[in-house]
Amino acid sequence: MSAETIGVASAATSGVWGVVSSVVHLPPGAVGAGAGAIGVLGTVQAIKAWAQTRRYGRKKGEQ
Amino acid sequence: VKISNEVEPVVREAFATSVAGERDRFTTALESVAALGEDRAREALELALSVSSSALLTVHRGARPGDEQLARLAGELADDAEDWSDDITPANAAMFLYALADGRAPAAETGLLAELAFGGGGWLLSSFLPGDAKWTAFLDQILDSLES
Repeated sequence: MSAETIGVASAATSGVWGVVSSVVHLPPGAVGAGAGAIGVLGTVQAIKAWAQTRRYGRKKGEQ
Repeated sequence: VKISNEVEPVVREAFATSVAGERDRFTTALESVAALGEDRAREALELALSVSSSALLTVHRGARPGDEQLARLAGELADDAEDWSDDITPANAAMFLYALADGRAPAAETGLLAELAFGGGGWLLSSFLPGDAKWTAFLDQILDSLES
């Protein structure tokens, strides 16, 4: 997919943004906010706990 | 940035479930992220944040959106995610979008961070497209840019 084949337009609901360049803008740094964002350990455990909560239990405001 | 062939399809599926707004499928998709194991799961989450950040910047022509725009977008994201997300609240959406706009990692517990990165990322990829464009093409562009 070439950079010219896709444009990005305003959200119909918001009108916050106008039609923009098809050029992708990367955040500062190698990968921006993603770089080093996650703690050293515990990603798997945290996501499993999150999924468990969604499937079986605690809703917002409980616990 | 080299994107792992093992990670990329899992990230794509997670974004797809967000775009589709399918609650159970979204949960399953993030379980698949966890099933990658610690290193790959972290890589997937960081990739989702990078994609989200790039999408936010790209739809705003490379400039930081203003605070008023971010607040408005946060409200829209929370509204759109209400049916399938538990924790993409207006406050969490705002925290997420402000952090992306400022090039920071969102300060959230990792489970919530994953929900925001994949859920909010899918929304950013799919909500600002002209009628005939596909969000997957936008994602392809961003992934290509990240890898170049």
